Amino acid sequence: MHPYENLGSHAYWKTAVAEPGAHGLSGLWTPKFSIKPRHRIVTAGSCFAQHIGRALSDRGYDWTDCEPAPPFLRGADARGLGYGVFSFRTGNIYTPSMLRQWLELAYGIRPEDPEVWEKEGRFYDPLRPAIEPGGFASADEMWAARRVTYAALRTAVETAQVFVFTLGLTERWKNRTTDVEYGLCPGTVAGTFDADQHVFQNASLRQTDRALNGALRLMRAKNPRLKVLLTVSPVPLTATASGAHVLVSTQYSKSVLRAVAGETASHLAYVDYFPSFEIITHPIFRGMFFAPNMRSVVPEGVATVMKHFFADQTRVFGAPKARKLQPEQVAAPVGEADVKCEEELLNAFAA
Amino acid sequence: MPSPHNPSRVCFFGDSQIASARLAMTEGLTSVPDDVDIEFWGATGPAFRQIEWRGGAMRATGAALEIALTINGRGRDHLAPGDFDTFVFYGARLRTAEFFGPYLQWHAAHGTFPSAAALHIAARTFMDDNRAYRNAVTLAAHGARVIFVPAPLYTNGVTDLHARGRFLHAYPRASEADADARAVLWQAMTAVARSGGVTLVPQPEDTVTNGVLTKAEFACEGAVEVGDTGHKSAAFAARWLQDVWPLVTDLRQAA
Repeated sequence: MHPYENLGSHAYWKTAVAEPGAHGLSGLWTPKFSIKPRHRIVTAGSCFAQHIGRALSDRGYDWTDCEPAPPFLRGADARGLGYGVFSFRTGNIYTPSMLRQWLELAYGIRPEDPEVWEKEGRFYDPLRPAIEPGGFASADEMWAARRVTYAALRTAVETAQVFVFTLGLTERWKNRTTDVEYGLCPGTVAGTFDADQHVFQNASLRQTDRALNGALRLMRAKNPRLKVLLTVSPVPLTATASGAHVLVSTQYSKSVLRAVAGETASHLAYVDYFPSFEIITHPIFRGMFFAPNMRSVVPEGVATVMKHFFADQTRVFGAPKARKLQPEQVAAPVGEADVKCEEELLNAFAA
Repeated sequence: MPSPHNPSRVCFFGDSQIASARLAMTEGLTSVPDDVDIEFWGATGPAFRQIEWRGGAMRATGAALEIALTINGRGRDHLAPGDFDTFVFYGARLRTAEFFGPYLQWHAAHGTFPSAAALHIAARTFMDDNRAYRNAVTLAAHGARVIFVPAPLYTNGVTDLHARGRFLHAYPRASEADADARAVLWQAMTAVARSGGVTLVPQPEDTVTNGVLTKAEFACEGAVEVGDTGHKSAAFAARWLQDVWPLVTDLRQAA
């Protein structure tokens, strides 16, 4: 008798992968906790988190928008200004350290840095420079908008039952003096790049782990009943400043994020990891869920990810009871082009 | 000096709100500028929806045509861009309160407005949703000079606006608004109108009370009996027209 005897079919490559094939895979995820339509769910993170939020909303789950668009701002107009994309108007939060920074600022743990980026008389938020594509009219307007988002973020943390966070990048740009992490590299969308002040960092495994766990501790301190679902974005880097090839840099980033997410989920009972990254990127799927640029995820990929999500929730916890939807709670369909990925702005700099 | 033989032709177009403007003129509560010839045209009630832009003009069909002919009294069955020197859209279902209510509530809740860019898009959406406003822009695009006097804020003291389903039940904190907050919203609306070639005239501040309402003294006759918070008195129209006439004159001189 040895440990490999009497394991379930899921434990063997032959029976779990080779024989069922890409479309026959099942049981990829054994969720730790039930996520029901009645649970208040918030989403944040990199581009791929937008898909999860919308898919949950489309299925009648209570995806909560804590910073809804102001009146008469609808559809593409609202999304163009970063409303309805995530549960609050932070734009993409690509790194765990950026999530921790947003939380610390929202709760006044970290002092506010007065830096504002200006370009041609318009003002941009260094933490989310693409949130107002034309810039803010004044620095005051930018700070007022930031305070609204802080409030929404606090509401999200304190009232959510499930916080879904998609880890996207390890590469980041910071201010050497203030230690502020920027949403994008200064000078790309706005701001002026200053080699003396702006420093590139590619977060290590340890730094990533510390940042993520710091963010989680803070959220749990504010909401002890909060559960967290981690995912890793399968979307490759648009560009790397690491000096390495972008493909190699992508693999480094995703490996670190995947390892930290897995490690965190393994030792914290309130944290789970959902393998959307594996579903999109694993060789068993032969890249079929990527668009021809091998970067964008096609709708079929998102659908497959969510099919596994719902199937595994049902397998472990039973079929959920549908929530009665109000007409305005049904999200409008969104195409790939509607996914807001600020990092793609770096493509403008590709030769 | 304007020539007495060539008066400026001004058309007041709108819904039932134009009645107060007409009363203000016929009762002598407002001084129509010299050498201005005024006509009225439009339709009241649901018939207002039967006025549309077709064949290069605003045309009324069905019940609206009959009402428009009655209001006009000069046999005019449509409004084309060259028919008048100035068009004054009056009321015309562009209900200011529907924009002000939610935004003043938003302002009170957040202590600020959304960005000016967001507000501009929102104001444009709100105004573009209104068919009469779209017609005003179309008229302007065809070279007409267009002034827009939107429907006024609801009247205070006529009925309980805090009751379930009523305006202040939905937007209770809108009544906290001050003149500065209202000015931001007027600015957004006038900027949108300007970009469409239309001059929008804000409701005079001295007619506003309780943050987002029109003073009770401007209620239309019998308003309390029928709970009419929308229509206003001739005196109210006269006050607003004080701000309109200089624009009519300016536009005439600029022509």
